[in-house]
Formats: sequence, structure tokens, C-alpha cells
Amino acid sequence: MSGSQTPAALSAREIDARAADWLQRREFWDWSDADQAALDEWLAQSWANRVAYHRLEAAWSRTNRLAALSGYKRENEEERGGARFLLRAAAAFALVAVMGASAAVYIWQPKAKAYSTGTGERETLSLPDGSQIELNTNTSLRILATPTERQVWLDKGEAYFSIMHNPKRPFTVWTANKRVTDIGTKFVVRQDASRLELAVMEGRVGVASASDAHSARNLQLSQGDILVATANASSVTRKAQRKIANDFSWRQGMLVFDDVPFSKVVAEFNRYSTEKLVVADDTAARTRVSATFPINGVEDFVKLAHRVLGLRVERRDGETVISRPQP
Amino acid sequence: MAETSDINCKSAGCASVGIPTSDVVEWFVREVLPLEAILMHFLRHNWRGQSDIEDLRQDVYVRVCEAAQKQLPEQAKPFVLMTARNLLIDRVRREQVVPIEAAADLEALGLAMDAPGPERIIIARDELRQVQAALEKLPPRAREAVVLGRIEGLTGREIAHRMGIAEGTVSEHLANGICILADLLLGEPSGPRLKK
Repeated sequence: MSGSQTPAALSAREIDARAADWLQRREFWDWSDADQAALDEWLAQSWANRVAYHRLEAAWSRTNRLAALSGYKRENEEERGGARFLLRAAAAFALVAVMGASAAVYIWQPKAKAYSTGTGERETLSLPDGSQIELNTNTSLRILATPTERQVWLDKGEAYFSIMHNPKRPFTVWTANKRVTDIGTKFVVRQDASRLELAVMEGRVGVASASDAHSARNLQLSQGDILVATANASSVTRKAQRKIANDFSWRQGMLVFDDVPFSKVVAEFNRYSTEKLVVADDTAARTRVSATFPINGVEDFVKLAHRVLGLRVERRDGETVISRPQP
Repeated sequence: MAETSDINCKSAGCASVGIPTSDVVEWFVREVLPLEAILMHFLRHNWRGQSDIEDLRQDVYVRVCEAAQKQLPEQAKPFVLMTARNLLIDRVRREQVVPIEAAADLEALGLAMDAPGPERIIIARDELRQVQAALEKLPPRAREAVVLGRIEGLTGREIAHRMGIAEGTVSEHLANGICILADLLLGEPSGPRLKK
């Protein structure tokens, strides 16, 4: 405990400067495995190095929210009419004149546009660059396009992205915990309460945590890959082309199920309807189902549950309860 | 590679015994860093020389991590402040110059120690405001580089091109910005971060 870890020659300030240099190199410049190895070696030299680096990294990662949160702020300011918008634009412009680069944060705010769909609705957005975004049921997102980048915040729900790739104008989708970057592709992102699902139909996408500074730890997904992520964990599986198409079938107004539990089928139908189905029986919930239904075909589904699976269907208090008949 | 790691172990950078280094680092980021404003307040209050305050902070962090490698403390805050106090006392003994009243102030901080870390409860909007405020305090060129990199998502090379300066200079601005942001975001008491 003599504090001998700080090499006498270097002050805390000097170590900070070195740590900051590592961090900015990792963050903004080409970063190879050899660079990572060199950083690891430097970190392993002393706790002074480690402490300095992780301290800067932790603080730096908080600035990540700047982009994401300035998006949230925008939402309230949307759709209040053109005059208001012009006023804001003028104010933002004046700010830029006064404050210079820092005002880049503010000038963004009037530009993002919010879109949303209600339960059972679908909407297709065509962007000027030829990209398309399709919103599935009960979905909210915001789009911000500038000359240097295109960004979408998926606040809830599910959307299909068909992106015209442009390396000079990267396309990024922000979800609660992840940052998805297009590398020329078609993909679906679905954000439920705490779970993210990303399926790649064509091309490649990069996925990174939205909050940490390790931009080098960018996970690359390609055609057929499905990423499922919660706040703390994520996993990637690869599906055959035919199966992955099921994740996209809602775009044709269909729900395709391939050997999934009955409870999952019910949960899917419930996404599209204000009248909810409830499964009141564990065994029934676990029954595997393979079937294709139109999205609005909940009646057909309930009939099938009754006639083919022999389940009991009852209407109670605005819900449809599905259970097994008592023997 | 085995030889190098042996050497590293002697220099205490890696965990040869006890808690894995990655766990210590995670604990440090999660439990200790949020206390930086309190720690800096304590150090500034009890140490006359303001110029070497960063060295003191660094020494406290190193000591805390070394100790945590043997066993993770149950409560970070009293542990960090006690370590700081001991460090100051060591310094005074060694240098015999600066009188301190660390003990008295430690008692004053005792109230805050018992509370279950309210300083970590940050509302998202306050967080944004704090980050924006910190950003505005950066020197203009560093701020411009950080905004271009962090918000517009440009690479270092693109920042250099946009700002019309050399790539090496961009690196310097970014590194400088990172250091100052860390001091502002972690060390400065602001809003709910430092509750007494």
C-alpha cells in the first residue's frame, strides 16, 4: 500500500493524457487487433493506467446519450405547425452564429420527424434517397436525415428497413440499448419492452451497444442472422432463408408460424388487435403450432384452436379466454 | 506470453490472487467513479496544494483498486473516503507541511455515507443537460472535434478534413476534450449528483 504503482516519472495528468490518446484512437481511428493487444499490454502495466483509462472511458460513454437524447427532446417539439418550426429554425440558426460548433446539438432538433402507427396499422415511408421503412403495428420511430448521416430512433414496435447504402451517409438505427448500422441491406428491428430482435434478410449490418464507447466491438451480422438482445445479454443465431422470411411476413399482411408454442402465436395476434386473447392453460400454451394466418385472421385462428386442437374458447369481459376443456 | 504475464503480475497490473481484474474494474466503474465529485470535494477541502489534486485522486483510485483485488468492499463510499483520509495523513507525515482536519470533515460526510447512494440516481434529462453543459465548457477546437466525432459520427480522418487541420492535431483535440469532459462529468458537483 505504498502507492508505488504510479511510476515516479509520470504525473496523474500525464497518465490521463496517454489514456485519453488510447481512447480517442480506439474510438475514431482504424483499430486493429494489434492495437487492441498494445492497449491491453499498456493497461496491464499498472493500476494507475487501468484506473485512468476506465475512468475516461466511463465518462466518455455518457456523451453517447447526447445523440440519442437530443432525439427524445425533439419529440415534443414536432408537429406544431410550420410557423413554430420556422421560428425554431431561425432561433437555432442564430444560436449557431453565436455559439459555433456546440450549437450543432440544437440545430438538429427541429429536423427529426416522428411517425407512429396504432394497433393493427401498418405504414410505409419512402425516403428521398430511395430507402424504405415500413412500420408494423403499434410502432413509434423518429427519422433524422442530414447531409452526413441518416438516423432512426425506434422507440417501440417493429420496422422493416430497406436501405440504399451510402458510405458517406451512414444509416443508423438506435434502439433502447443497441446501435444498428447498415452496411447495405434489408433488415427488421423489433423493440419490445426490454427485448430487441434484429433479423437480417439481405446484406450486412453492424450492431454495437448504444451506450458504451467500444465502437471497435461492433458485431457484424449478415443474411440469415437473428440477434436477440436484452439490456445485459445478446445472442445470435442463423436461420435458413425460408425461416427468416417468417420474420418479414407481416409486410405481406401474413403471420407465419413454424413450430412455435401456442402462447407465442397468441402473443403475436395480440400485437395486432385491441381485443386480447388469453391462454388459461399451461399445456395448451406449450402446444407447438405450424400455421399461416392473415394478420387480421384472429377469428380463423380461434376457430382452429377450437376445432383442431380441441380447446375451449370463451368470451369474458372483452377478452377471449382459451383453455382446455375439463375431462 | 507466459513470461510477460508473470512480469506484469509483479507490477500488480494483473490479478495473480483474489478477485479477477475485470471484476475490480467493473466494481470501480460502477461503485467508485460515481463518488468522484464527493472525493474531489473532500480532497480540495482537506489539501492545500490544489495543483497535485489529480495525483491524489489517482493515488486514491489505485489504492482502492489494489485493496479491492483482495476483497471487494461491501460499501464503496466509506471505503473510498477512508482511503483518501489515510492517504492525506500519510502525505502529511511524509512531508510535514500541511495541517489537515480530515477527520472532522469525514464526520461531516458521515451523513451522506449512510444513505444508499442517491447521487447515482440521475434523471435522463438532467444527464443530457449536464453533458451539454460540459460540452460547452470545452475549448472551441476540442469541442468542435468532439461534436463532429460524437454527434455527427465522423471518423478522425473525416474530422481532420472537415476542420481543415492535421490528423495528429485532431487526436490532440479529441484527447484533450475527453480528459476535460471526464473532469467535468465526474468531478464537478452538479444537480443531483452530489447530495449532502
